[in-house]
Amino acid sequence: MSQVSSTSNPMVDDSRERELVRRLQAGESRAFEELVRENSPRLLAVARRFFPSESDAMDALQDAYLSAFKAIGRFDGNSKLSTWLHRIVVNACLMKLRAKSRRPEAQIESMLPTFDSSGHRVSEGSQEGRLSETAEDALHRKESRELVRATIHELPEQYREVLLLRDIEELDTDQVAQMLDLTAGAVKTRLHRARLALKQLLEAKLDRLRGREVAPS
Amino acid sequence: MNCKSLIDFLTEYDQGTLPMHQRLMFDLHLKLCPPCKKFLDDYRAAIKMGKKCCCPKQEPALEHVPEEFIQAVLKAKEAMPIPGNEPRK
Repeated sequence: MSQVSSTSNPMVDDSRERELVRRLQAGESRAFEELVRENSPRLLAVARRFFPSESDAMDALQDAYLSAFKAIGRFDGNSKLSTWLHRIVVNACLMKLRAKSRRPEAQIESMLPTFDSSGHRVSEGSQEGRLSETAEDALHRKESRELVRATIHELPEQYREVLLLRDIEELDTDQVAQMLDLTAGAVKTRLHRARLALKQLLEAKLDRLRGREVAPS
Repeated sequence: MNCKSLIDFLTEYDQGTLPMHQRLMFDLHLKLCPPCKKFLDDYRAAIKMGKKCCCPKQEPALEHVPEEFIQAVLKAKEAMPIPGNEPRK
């Protein structure tokens, strides 16, 4: 199955997209099918980044399509159709995340680095200071990549959603603040704490993974 | 500047949004405190790993969308009060 478009010519792409939007807004059934078939691989990948469960990702994507179908009459062409759809999928994922059980914000405290009363870091022993040396190697290994994705899903929801939107979906701080109804400052704080927690968790998990690999069988 | 205040401002430091005098203090602390320098390297590595492991190129199943899913979406669309919902053949 092809990705978004079968051509690499931007002018042809634009013209084809305008025609697709016209057909969608006219309610042509085949146009809706084209939209779903062409965009689902990319959009399902977005939903999978929010949910470890395939069925949750598909539910969120289906919700997003239904929202998009309802709103297609209001699509004004000021952004690309793919960008508009991406935003709708991210919103659907956020709504689904929030509909699921929430964990209290305080839980992230145990995932953050600790300091003594003078502000100096308390050593975390063998878990500390190896990520930068092993990151490249880990990125080439399927088991490590899956572990990183699973670790992101362990972050408390309020932090995970900000990390996913800023670092993975690459929305800017103001866009994320608007989507989550937060101040820009709160987005920055949550992103920073999410990244710190991710670092701490990854160090511990990758250490354990390496330990299993070198242990005699 | 101590280790805690350095870590509190890592994001601003990396984005280059710290005021000059704070940036200089940050740089000085990093030169004098190898564990903080290592912490910064690992923090950057964690961000990079998160980004790279979730990027579409790393997802082997990206191209596969079950036909049942596509049919379910189109069926759900038929039940919606929008134009073009003539019965599918």
